[in-house]
Amino acid sequence: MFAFSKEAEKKIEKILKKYPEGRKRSALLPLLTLVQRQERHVNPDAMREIGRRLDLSPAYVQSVCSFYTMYSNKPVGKYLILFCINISCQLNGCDELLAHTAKKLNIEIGGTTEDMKFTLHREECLAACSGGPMMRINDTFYENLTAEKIDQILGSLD
Amino acid sequence: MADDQVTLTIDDQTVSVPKGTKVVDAAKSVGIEIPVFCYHEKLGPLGCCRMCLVEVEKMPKLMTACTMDVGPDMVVKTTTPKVEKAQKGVLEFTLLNHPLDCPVCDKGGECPLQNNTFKYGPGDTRMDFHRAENLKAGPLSPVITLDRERCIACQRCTRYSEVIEQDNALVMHNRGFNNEVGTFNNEPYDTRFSGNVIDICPVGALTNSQFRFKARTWDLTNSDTLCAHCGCNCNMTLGVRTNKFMRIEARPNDLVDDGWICDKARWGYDFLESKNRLVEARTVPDNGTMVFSSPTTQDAAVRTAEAIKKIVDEHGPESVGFIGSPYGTNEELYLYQKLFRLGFGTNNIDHKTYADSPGLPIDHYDVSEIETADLVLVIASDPTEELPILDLRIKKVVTRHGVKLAVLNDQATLMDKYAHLSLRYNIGSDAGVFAALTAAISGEGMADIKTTGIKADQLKSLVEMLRASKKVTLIYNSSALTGQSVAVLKQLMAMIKNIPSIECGAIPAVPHTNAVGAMDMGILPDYYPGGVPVADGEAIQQTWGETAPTQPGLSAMEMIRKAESGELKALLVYRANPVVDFPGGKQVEEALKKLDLLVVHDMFETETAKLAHILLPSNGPGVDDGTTTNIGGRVQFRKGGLKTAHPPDWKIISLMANTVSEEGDGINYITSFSVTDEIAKNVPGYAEISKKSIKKEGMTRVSSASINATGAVSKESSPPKPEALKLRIANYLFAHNTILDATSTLAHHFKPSIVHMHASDAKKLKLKNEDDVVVVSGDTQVSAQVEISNRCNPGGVVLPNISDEQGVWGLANSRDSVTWVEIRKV
Amino acid sequence: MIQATLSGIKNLTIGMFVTFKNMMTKPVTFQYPEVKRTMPERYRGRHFLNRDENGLEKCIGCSLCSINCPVGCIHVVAAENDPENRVSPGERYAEVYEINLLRCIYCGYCEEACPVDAVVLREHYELADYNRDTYIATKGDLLVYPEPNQFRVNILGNTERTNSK
Repeated sequence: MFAFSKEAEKKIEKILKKYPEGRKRSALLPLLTLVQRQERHVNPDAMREIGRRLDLSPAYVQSVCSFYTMYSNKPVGKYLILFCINISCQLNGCDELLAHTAKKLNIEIGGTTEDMKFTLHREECLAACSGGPMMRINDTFYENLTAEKIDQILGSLD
Repeated sequence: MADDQVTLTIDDQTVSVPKGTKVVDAAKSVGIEIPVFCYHEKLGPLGCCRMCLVEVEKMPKLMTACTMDVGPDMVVKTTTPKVEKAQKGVLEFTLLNHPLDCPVCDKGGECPLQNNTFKYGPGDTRMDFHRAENLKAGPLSPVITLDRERCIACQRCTRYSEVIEQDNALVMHNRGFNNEVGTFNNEPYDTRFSGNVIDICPVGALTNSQFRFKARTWDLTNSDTLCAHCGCNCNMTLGVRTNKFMRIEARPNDLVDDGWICDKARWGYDFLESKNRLVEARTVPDNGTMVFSSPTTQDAAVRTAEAIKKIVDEHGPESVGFIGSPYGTNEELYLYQKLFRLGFGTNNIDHKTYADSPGLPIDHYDVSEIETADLVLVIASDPTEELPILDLRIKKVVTRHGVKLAVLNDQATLMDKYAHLSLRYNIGSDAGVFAALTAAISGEGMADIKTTGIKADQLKSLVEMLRASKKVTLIYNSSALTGQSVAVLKQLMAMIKNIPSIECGAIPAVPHTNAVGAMDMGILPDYYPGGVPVADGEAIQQTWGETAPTQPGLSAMEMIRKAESGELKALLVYRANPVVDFPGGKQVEEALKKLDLLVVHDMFETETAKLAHILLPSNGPGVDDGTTTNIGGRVQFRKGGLKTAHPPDWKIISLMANTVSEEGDGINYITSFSVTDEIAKNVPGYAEISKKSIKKEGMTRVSSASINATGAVSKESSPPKPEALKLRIANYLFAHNTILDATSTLAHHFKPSIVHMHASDAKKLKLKNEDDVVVVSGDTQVSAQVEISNRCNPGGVVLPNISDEQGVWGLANSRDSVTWVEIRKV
Repeated sequence: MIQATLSGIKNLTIGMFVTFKNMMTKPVTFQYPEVKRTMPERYRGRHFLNRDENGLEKCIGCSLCSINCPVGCIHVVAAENDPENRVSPGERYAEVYEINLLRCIYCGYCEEACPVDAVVLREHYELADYNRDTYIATKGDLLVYPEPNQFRVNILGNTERTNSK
């Protein structure tokens, strides 16, 4: 069974206050984000719980959840690496860097390391074209990447 | 109004349509076809399939005709080379991953994708990669097959689920080219209206599992018929091949069903080929004079008439009776009442066990009037379980037309979710509530409503809502009211009528197919057809002749009682099952056993049929022709589709009539419409009804005026034991009975017996959720599981009628007053 | 007189020329039923249902033959394949496939309409029988698909396969 943590409950209360009466469904994305942060994925139980709170059908919650790539249906690692592969980054050689990262972490693209530390995903444009190639780890952008820089960044994360 | 009309030009034709119309619909109105996939007039615009691209002057790019409102002096072109090229391009894309399995696809032959490709598509494709592979033919629910390869992601089905059914059970998952239709966690999509997605799917992605591969669509002989399950009388098409039932499809009639049918209509027709069908007339050989073996139906009918006539001659006309059915057609019921009134000289004719009388003090509104009302007041009715298509209509007007909804009921229903005001009175105190409401509206002040479970301020806000509205539609289910409270309700209607600022009408929402028709056809002990009371001797003799009886007859329950005391000798039961459906259960069975002659004319081997001395088979819906009157008073023609060697019911009845007729042959009807013509002649309100006038959309009959019924608020009965609770028998749409038997396609909807309790009662009785209990009244016990759902106010329980086997009506003694039950733990 | 005789012989020779000429050549007729005629490959005789290389029925029960049939002599009832026990390669197969050979006009439209090349009209022309019932060719009759002219008429006048006995 899924349950929100105490901190999450407090946040939910705050989030729900933001929206006017009868517009509870607007809180769907923030709540999904909370679940993703808490569980590192969104499972059907959590979807049911969110649906119950926001008066939405669980199917609708799942529909929204599966639309956005920020939410995953399997647990992701502690550090979620989103590697931009869109045109600016690609022209600046993101493909090799992505392959390099995958090789370094010893995982497939889209996979998670066995210690549940890193998950590597391709991502379309992350709106930092001026700094390509770039990647995003959790909430931080790393720009103008090189192989050495990546090694250094990955090494600095524990 | 001229201001609301917009004039534009489409392909050199000038079109004038109301403001807000989409270009697609405007074009359709002058016969110009703009191809669409995702657009459906009931679902509103989406614009995702891009099939409807048209060229509009002064607009730089092609526009989607389905999302664009008409504008004044707009010039739309639908056949320019630019448009044609776009259509070809869109179709080439749509077909990129669509498999070429039209020969095996059930949609083949009636597929919009096939048709549009044929008409507008490219002859070839440049696609030489592998097509995407996806789920091929998996079950979306036990009755719907989903083929994801064929899906073109038009989102018609998911929008249907969102906009029409409003439960969002079917949604799009993922995005981009991974976009696919699905349910939560791949659970089955088994809602009450799921089948409509099959009709609106423009490709073969959602298909009917029952019809899967049974026939090609062009092989079917389709007959335009009506659904025979509930009082909505939705229009549908019955597909038959080689005289075998194949499938049911919706046949849109906006005045009745708004284009949808429920799942019971679509898949509840297995009974046409049920094993329990009565296929031949039978008699019980040891019943005195009526010994004859394996008679033909005609033989049996003649003998029935002779036997009843003999009893009439010996014991007088009061000793015979007729229990009809609100499921028969107008023709069948008309002929039966004529047979019993004129042939046997008795008024012992009835079709129901609850109190009601024909006629309304206010207008009888058609179902479509709900859309123009500004307040819908639902009284004691549970449209979701009783009249599903009415439920869709109410949801539609409340959520999209801004109509206010007030619910006055003794149990929680799904309507509460949409209601602006939902009042729940105590079970059995309906008359008190109506009386208090009448007093409050008339300005007599607030009556004492403490015992009804409704608070004074709630009642006040309902009165305010009523007073603030211009047009009110009352929807009431008299079969869910206790005692004579329907008369009190009619007084309330008369009171609302007196308020000049309110236009008010009512829809009597009794769930049975032809409940309105049965009342109109005079299947009542005290009313002749058309709501003419038996006391009105002059009018009766004018229409029906000198011999027509003018003494009120016995009601159905009285007939059962007289049968028990031996005063009633013969009873003809037509398509009713008193043993199961009448209050009394075992007692009814014992009473029927005492009859000298019990004739059952039915489609099935029912519990009552087992007691019969003579059994006459009835063809019923799907086979026999006839007209029915829906809850809105709309008379429509229900055409048969299957053929049988058995004579239709109206022939059997007229054969009986001719047997007892003194003039010998009497009248010979040629078709069911010959009877309809006689109804038009003899039944007030049906004068305009004829084969021609009801042909397309049916026609509303004129409602008779109500005779000032007097119903006083009876005193609340006190519980026989302190722990006794009041019983409310609720309806369940997919109840397991002779119509939906164990082999039914809808068997997955069958439910276990559940008794809904209020938390406070459960606490008093120390019951928990899922406790096994028996509901006891007298000698009758019904086992059930407890569900603490607060479905009714404290002091009562709600027991849904989920199957014939459950026998809930055995708990009730009569409908005169509320039934007290005890809940005992097992 | 002699002249008349000569002229008679001459005329007779001329008159019999074609006869004499044909006495020497191979006859066009042949001893049917002992000798069978080889029909052209595209002759439209009796129908057969094909099987594919795996021995499965090619017919998918789509009824396009039946809707195309100008005389309506084909009756198809389809059913769903059991994946464990396939009858045809696709999702559906023909549970019932019947052709009324008496009503058929051998136009070959069914063959043309068939999207999977299941139904074919072959060179079998010996369709005479004493019993009308045998003219309803069921799936069992149609799926035999023998090589050309492996049929013969037996002593009772019924068509049978040459290698059946």
